[in-house]
Amino acid sequence: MVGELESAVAISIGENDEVIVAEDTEGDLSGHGTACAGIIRGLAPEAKISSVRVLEAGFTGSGGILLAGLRYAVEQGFDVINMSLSTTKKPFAAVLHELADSAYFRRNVLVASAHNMPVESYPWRFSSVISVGSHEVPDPFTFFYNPTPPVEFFGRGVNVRVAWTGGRSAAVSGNSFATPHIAGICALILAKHPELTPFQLKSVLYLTASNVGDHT
Amino acid sequence: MSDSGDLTAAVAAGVTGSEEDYRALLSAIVEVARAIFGAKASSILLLDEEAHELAFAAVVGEGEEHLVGVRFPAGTGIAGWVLATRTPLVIEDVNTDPRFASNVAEDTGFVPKGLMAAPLLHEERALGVLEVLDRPEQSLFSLQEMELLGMFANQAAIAVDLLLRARAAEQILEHDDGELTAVARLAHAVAGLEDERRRAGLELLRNLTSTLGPRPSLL
Repeated sequence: MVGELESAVAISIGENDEVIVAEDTEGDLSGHGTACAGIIRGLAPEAKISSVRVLEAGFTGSGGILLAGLRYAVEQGFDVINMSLSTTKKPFAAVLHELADSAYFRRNVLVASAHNMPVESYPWRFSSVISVGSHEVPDPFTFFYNPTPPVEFFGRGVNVRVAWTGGRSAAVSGNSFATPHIAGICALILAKHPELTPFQLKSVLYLTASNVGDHT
Repeated sequence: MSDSGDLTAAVAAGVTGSEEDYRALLSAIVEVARAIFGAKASSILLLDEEAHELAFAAVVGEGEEHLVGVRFPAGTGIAGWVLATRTPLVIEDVNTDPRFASNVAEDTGFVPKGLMAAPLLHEERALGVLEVLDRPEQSLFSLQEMELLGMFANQAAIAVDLLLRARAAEQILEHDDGELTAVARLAHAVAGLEDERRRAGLELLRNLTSTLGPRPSLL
């Protein structure tokens, strides 16, 4: 239901703490990537989608694999990087911040899920990423600008019908699903205006948000 | 000699609740979670960091007789996803596309009819996952409920953190050769005193502290 992927890799950490990037032969283990990729495919059908898997059995969000996966994605120069996840580990915050900034300068737009719980988590709080919370309007192209950051935009994130593993579909809710809506919209904007910097792209998102300007 | 952190833990263990109290606290959390959302079942899964496993610590509703204590690898299933991504998730109304019907039989993953799950986060630690299963089918999930889930999970995480600290303190005592146990017993004994005996006991402790404490300077 997601269609063909451009590439799919799995990130892991070896015995000597080395980062291993291998072709992903296992596929989606949780349904997370499938759901997010399906949403992006729905909004931007011609986008080339690559999968970088940082979730595996036994992984509990330690942050190391997340960092390695993001570094790989930035090095690959993907135009839009969807991150429907975050880490609460403070030691990773500084490195994550540097990576987010370098993505911003290299024109790799990072779209990250905001937390709706009162905990410190990253990378969504960094101003170099586009952070996303949820609204409940049942329209994939409706999104709102938030004048009171740190969350910058609200995408569709409640009762979203998504592709699921095993050829199933499900109605899901959560900022994890609002994020690929904004990522898909970013892909559409960049397809038409590939020269935009992340700063300009954010400005376009602001100016075209459903609650900004005159939409009558 | 144990460090001061262990001593503090020992005193804490001397005056905090019993294992029954902890179980009652966890049960109360899942009972309230189930009631808030009008759901059929709710559970708390705690993370065993060393074993990289999630274990059912409290269950109300379906499975409450046999699920407590059951473990599975922490990175798998919806709970594993929620724990790893640190984000709450609601999944309902799972349907099979007829084009893929043959694949589903081979899929052994847990297929919930409806499930809400939120990570139990305290400061930078992920303690476990709160799950609420099978909300009423007639009602569509709302943004307000999503926020409520996050807020309730936060409150639950604070309670679970206190509980885990108390359990850790007791474990320190269990492996102690007697030194810390003596301090814990003393704390427990003083906590159990009343009125005049309590005042007398505390006065005795103050004098003891003064005797054992650093000698005053002769300046």
